[in-house]
Amino acid sequence: MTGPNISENWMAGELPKAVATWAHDTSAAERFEVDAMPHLNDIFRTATRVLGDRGRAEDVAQEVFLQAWKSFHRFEPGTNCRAWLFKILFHCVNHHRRKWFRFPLLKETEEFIEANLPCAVPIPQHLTDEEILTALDKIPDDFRAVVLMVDVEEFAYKDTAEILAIPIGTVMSRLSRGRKLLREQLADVAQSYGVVRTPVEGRKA
Amino acid sequence: MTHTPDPNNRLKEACNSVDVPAGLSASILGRIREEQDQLQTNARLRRAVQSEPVPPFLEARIRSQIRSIQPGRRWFTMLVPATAAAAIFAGLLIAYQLGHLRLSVTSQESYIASVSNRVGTLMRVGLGDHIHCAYFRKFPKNPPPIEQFVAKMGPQYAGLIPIIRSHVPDSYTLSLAHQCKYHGRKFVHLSLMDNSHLLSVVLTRKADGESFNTEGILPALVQSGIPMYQSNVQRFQMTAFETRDYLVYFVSDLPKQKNADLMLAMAPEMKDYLKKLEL
Repeated sequence: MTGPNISENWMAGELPKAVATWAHDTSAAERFEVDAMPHLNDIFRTATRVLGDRGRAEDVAQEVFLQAWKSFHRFEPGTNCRAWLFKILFHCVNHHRRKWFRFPLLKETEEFIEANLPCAVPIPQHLTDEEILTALDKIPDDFRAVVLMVDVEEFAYKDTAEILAIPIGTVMSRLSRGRKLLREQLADVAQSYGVVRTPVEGRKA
Repeated sequence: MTHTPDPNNRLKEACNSVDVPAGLSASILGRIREEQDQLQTNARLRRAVQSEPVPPFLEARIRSQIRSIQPGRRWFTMLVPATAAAAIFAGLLIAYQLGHLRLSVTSQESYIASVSNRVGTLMRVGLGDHIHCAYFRKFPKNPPPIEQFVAKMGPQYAGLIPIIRSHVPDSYTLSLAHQCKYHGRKFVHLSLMDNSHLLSVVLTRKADGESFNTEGILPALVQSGIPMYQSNVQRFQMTAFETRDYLVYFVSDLPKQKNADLMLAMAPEMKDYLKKLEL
């Protein structure tokens, strides 16, 4: 990046407007590089899991970073840039879902999910990444998003609530149910390996 | 010697006497195991998610797009509300200058003074009464019956109602007809309005020496031998004439020509009517 022509007046005192703008942009670009760009991989992977499509995830990840750059002046230095980027990600995901008319595939009621929760099963150690990801992708969107935020990206409940724009109580309940649903999916895989389900202590009849 | 129990020991004994539920430690251990399982599952899940390869070109593509876009600036986001606030303020200021939002008598008077100062001395007389009596008045939706206006005009001036009525289009309703006093001067005042315009015919007896002639104003028109004087300020158009004893004004927010046409139409009959009163 080359700077603008610096007039002699600058030496005399006042910072020319063009130079000030250029300096502002340069410093913003540097900060963006340091604060935001390192999270690109996490954003892309989460987008892939949430959208279930790498092509769309690429578009959305790109959009997240462009939006973040455009509104980078609103980002308070020293605060959690990663959480801010994830918040933008879910904003973009929701926007795209509306655009693509891709509403959540499985909108089961909480009661239905509760009633159909699986027995806990030991997760076979030899499951492949692909099998685990396939199981994760089968969880309804809302639950999957919370599992991804808390268990994979290791955000606190409070941060997750802000990122997904839902109450913290909803984060906790969705996490609990999401984890159980994931176990259910993994249990199917386990069964294919010959592992039999065992009832869990204290589980509702 | 009697033994007094130590209250602290007694409390300790009471606490110790509570039975620990059977299986509590097993339950705690179970929870810990569950937590450990969950942590292991999370770690495995994380590994699986992170195994997804990121397209190598994505980062470069984003960087190149970012380079072509200026970042937003803090001042720009503040510019929009600041501009909106300035526009609203300017709107309110203009509305106030034009006489809207003048709710108190003092502010109404200051408006009349500021407007009147921009027209000739004799024109101020009729304009001031029009603004004071009609412009700032909240007219009821349904005007009172004509009999009430006739009574308020008094027998001397009630005959002006049909003259004025006959020359003003039917779309206008008579909203006001009375004798009034403003700044110590008596007026006969009739107002008519439609959905968007307000017209006033204002008459007052001349004070000593008052005349458009002596004020040095040249008539803009002459109709049936009656010299007509015209003036305007802001939205107000004025056409006036004088008789021996009266000053007669037609004030409205109509276009200049329309205002003059109406006054020209009613002036001869009004002059004849007033002549009878001057006998």
